[in-house]
Amino acid sequence: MTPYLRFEIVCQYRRLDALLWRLLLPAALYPLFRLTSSSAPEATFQGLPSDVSSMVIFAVLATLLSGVFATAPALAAERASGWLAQLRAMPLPATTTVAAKVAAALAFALPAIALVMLAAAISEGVTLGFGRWIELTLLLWVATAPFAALGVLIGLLTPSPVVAQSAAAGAIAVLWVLGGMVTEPSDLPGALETTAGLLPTNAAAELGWAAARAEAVPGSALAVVAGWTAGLGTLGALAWRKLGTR
Amino acid sequence: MSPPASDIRHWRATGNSRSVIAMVLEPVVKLSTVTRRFGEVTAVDELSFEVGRGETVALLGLNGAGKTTALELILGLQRPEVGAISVLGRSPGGAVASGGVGAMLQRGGLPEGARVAELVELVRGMYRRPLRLDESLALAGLERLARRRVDRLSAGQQQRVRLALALAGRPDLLLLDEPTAAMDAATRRSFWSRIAESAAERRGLLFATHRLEEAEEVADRVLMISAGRLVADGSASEVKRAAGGIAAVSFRAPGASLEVLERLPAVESVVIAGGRVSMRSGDLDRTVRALLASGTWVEDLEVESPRLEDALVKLSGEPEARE
Repeated sequence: MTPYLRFEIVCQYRRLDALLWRLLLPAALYPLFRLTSSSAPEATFQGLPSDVSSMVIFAVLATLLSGVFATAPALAAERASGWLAQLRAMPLPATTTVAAKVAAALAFALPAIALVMLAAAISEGVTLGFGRWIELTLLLWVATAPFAALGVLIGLLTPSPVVAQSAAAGAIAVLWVLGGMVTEPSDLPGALETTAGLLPTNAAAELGWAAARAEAVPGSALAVVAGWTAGLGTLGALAWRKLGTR
Repeated sequence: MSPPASDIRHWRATGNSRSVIAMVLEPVVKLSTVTRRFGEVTAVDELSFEVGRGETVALLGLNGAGKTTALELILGLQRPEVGAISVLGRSPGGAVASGGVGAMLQRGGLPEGARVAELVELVRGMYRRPLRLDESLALAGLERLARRRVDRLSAGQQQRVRLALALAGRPDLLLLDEPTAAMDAATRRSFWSRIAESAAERRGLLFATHRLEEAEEVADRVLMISAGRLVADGSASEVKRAAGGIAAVSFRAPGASLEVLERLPAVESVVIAGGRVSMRSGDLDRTVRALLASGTWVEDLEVESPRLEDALVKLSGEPEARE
């Protein structure tokens, strides 16, 4: 861990307001959703009992909030305040700065995902084998990477935290709906069904559902996660470079 | 009277405040006909100057003159369309990456949630031979604030944190952009005395300011820029002299006649209002000597320093001074 990453994580953990919705909101929403859900206890979704499948969906929400929503406005604020320019005037490689932002988002996603699992275990009595809990958590954690890269990209491209917040919320909504988190991808019309399978939200959920079903890790979903991470990460690095040499 | 262009060139070549050593050795900063445009606006226009080793140089100009752009070019935060920049014998980016430069930006925000000491410690860790943490904090007068969160400090305290960050790496070159803009006179004095305390650690200091008196008190040499162009380069007194005819004096002189005052040497204008005489002069020393010798009873004499605005108008308004 670089000193700058440690510094980032420590500073971010001190922002209590952000911590609340970042870590606790998805875990708090899950039992609320189950309470108001009309699906019968024996109903299945994605071949899983609905309490388990929706636990995965809320864990995906945790990855989105930690990745996109926590990163973009904070980074835009640092850009607007001039702190990013100050960092560029110091001997800190650009890659270190961008990588630390992504890594810090991941450092928050892990407890956020785990808290959703805990909420499911407590409120719905969801039980999975120990190995499956670990696999599920780790796969969803890996699936946070493209969202963190997206958060960095939005933060670097938007002029103020307010704009970044709106852009992040819009991106989350689009990825959520088109990624098949509201309806099964097969219920989406025509081309959208194909698109859904290519989105990182859907890939994250696929990884989680497969782990919950005790199936092998779906390679296609991993490829989608890797592809989006590489693509968005490259765009983020380019945006950083462009900012640095206006 | 403003000086002819040849005089300005003369200062550049022989300015007496530049030490011989500085002229012999490679400059710490060198800009060669650098131009930077933003759309239609030319922020920096064929700017050339050097900062020699050991020099403290003020970049003096009004708001919007191009000072910040010039400093950002030297830091590699901007790239010039035309021209070359060398910093500590390297490219600007290379000099920053090597840890040779410490900077205080005009609008350098501080990260939310960080405590003073851990922020200074983070920056120390980026440099090869930094000051000790306690030295960095002491230089900026932050010992008692070490554990405070930076987002809970006053504006003046935050400015001291920025100073600590700029000094922490013991940089060879220190760049400060309007470092005292938000400070009162007492804070400004203590700021510059802190900078002076750290002078032995570095090879050059370049700071932007819009205060002529600050440039005069602190800098060995003053570069005056207007509309992105260098309009004067010399010691503060040389620049002031170049801006000639702008010093003013005011006093009470019961019974003094306007005719007598207007006939004093070098007087440019005289105004008598409410019993108080205001006089502008091209050579204040001569005017005041003659005034006192004339037997005029003078009370409550106040001398007004040449105003930068006047100097800039004078210097940048002369087409030949622009070369």
